[in-house]
Amino acid sequence: MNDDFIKMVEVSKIYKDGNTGLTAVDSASINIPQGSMIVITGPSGSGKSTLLYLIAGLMEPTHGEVFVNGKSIYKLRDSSISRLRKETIGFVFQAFNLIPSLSALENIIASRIMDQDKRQKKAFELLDEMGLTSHKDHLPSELSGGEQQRVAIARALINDPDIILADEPTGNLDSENGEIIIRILHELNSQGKTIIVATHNPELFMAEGVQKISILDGHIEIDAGANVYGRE
Amino acid sequence: MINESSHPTTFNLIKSNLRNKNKQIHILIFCLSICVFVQSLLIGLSVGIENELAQRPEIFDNGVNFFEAVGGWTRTLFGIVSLIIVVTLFTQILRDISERRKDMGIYRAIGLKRKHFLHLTLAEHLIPASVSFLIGTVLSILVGLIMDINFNHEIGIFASPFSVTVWMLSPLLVIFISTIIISNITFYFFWHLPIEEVLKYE
Ligand SMILES: Nc1ncnc2c1ncn2[C@@H]1O[C@H](COP(=O)(O)OP(=O)(O)OP(=O)(O)O)[C@@H](O)[C@H]1O
Ligand SMILES: [Mg+2]
Repeated sequence: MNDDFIKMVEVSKIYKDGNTGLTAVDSASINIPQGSMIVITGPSGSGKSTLLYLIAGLMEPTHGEVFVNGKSIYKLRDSSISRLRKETIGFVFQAFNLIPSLSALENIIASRIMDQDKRQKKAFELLDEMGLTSHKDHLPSELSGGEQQRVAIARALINDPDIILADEPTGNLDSENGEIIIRILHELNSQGKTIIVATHNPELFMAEGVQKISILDGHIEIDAGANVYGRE
Repeated sequence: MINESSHPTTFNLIKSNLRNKNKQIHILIFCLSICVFVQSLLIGLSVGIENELAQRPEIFDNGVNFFEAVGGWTRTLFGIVSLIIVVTLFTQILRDISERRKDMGIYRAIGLKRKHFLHLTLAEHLIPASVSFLIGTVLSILVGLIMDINFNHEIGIFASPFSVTVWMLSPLLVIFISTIIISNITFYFFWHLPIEEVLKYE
C-alpha cells in the first residue's frame, strides 16, 4: 500500500471576503495512506468541506500543494485533472448538487454522458443497494432529502473510484438509511478504497481502524496513535 | 412500453438535460423559424411580383404602385423583425447560460473533459437548431413548389420555385450558423467558470 497516497503539503485556503481574507484551511499538512478510512470532524464552519474540496481537485489552494498518488493535482493538465475527478475520486457533496433536469438514474451516470459505456448495470445495482429502484425516473425535485443524498452517493460510486470523499453523507438520513450508508462505506474500505468522511457525528463511523482528524478554525489536529500523520 | 429513460443513451441524456430550462429555447427557435418563414414568404411574393411587373407591367394596370409599396414595406418589416429575432435569441441564451451555470459546474466537478463538454454544449444547441432548420427547409421547398405549380404558368409570378426557396432558406441558415456561434460562446463561458461557483457557501 502507498503510504503517501494523498499528501497535503502546507495547504492553505483563504476565501476572499470583501477586502479581508477568511482562512478556511490553515497550512494543513497530512499524509493519508491508501486504504485508510478517515473521519474529519469539527464544528460548523471549521473548514471540513473546504478540506475535502482541496483533496478532491475541486478547489485550488491559495498556498501549498496537494498530491494524489504522487502527482501534484493542481499542476495537471485539464484533461488529467478531469480524469482524476471522474475516475479516481468519488465526491458526495454536502448539498448533493444533483442536476435538476436529470432523473435519479441519469444523475448517477451523468459523468458518463458522453461515453459509449454508460455503466447502466452498475447504476441499477447501486439503485438497488440504495433502495431507490422504484424512484429511478424521479427528478431530484420529486425526491426527499434522504433520497437525493443516496442518489448523490450512488453517483460518487458509479466509476468505482479509489478514493471516496463524503461530506456529511448521513446528514439527511434516518438512522436506518444512515446505517446502510455507513455499512457501504466500511465495506468499500475493506475492499481497499480510501474513504474520507466529514461529519458532525464521528461516533457513527468509528470502528476498528477508522482514524479521526479534528479541525478547528482551519487548524488540523490528528488524533494520537493514528496512522495518518502530519508534518512539522 | 419501454421507458426510454431507463435505457439512457447519450441522446436521451442530452434531451433530459434540455428538459426544463432549455424548453423555452426549443419553442423560441421553432417560433422564430415559423416567423422567418412567413417573412420570407412575403418577400418571395413581393420579389416575384416585382419581377413580373418589370416584365409585363400591363397585367396589373392600376395596381403597380400598390405592389411596389407592399414590396418595400415587407422588406422594412423583415429587417425589423430579424433584428428582434437575433436580440431575443441572444438574451434568451444568455439567460439560459446564467441559469445553467450550476449544472455545468457540476458536470465539471464530476469529471467531464473539455472535449466532451464542447460536444455537450454543441449538441444541446444543435439538436433544436437542426430540427427547426429541417422543418423550415421542407416547408420552404414545399411552398416554393406549390407556388410554382399554381402561379407560374398562369401569371408567371415566380421565375422558378428556387427563387422562393432560396429566399426562405437564407434566414434559416443565418439562425443555424448563429446557433453554432452561440454554442461556442456558451462553451467558453462555462468552461472558464470556476467550479467554486458550484461549491459556493450559502
Ligand atoms: N465560497 C466561500 N466564500 C467565502 N467564505 C467561505 C466560502 N466557503 C466557505 N467559506 C467559509 O469558510 C469557512 C469554512 O467553511 P466550510 O464549508 O469548509 O466549513 P464546514 O466545516 O464544512 O462547515 P459545516 O459543518 O457547516 O458544513 C466558514 O467560515 C465559511 O463561512
Ligand atoms: Mg461542510
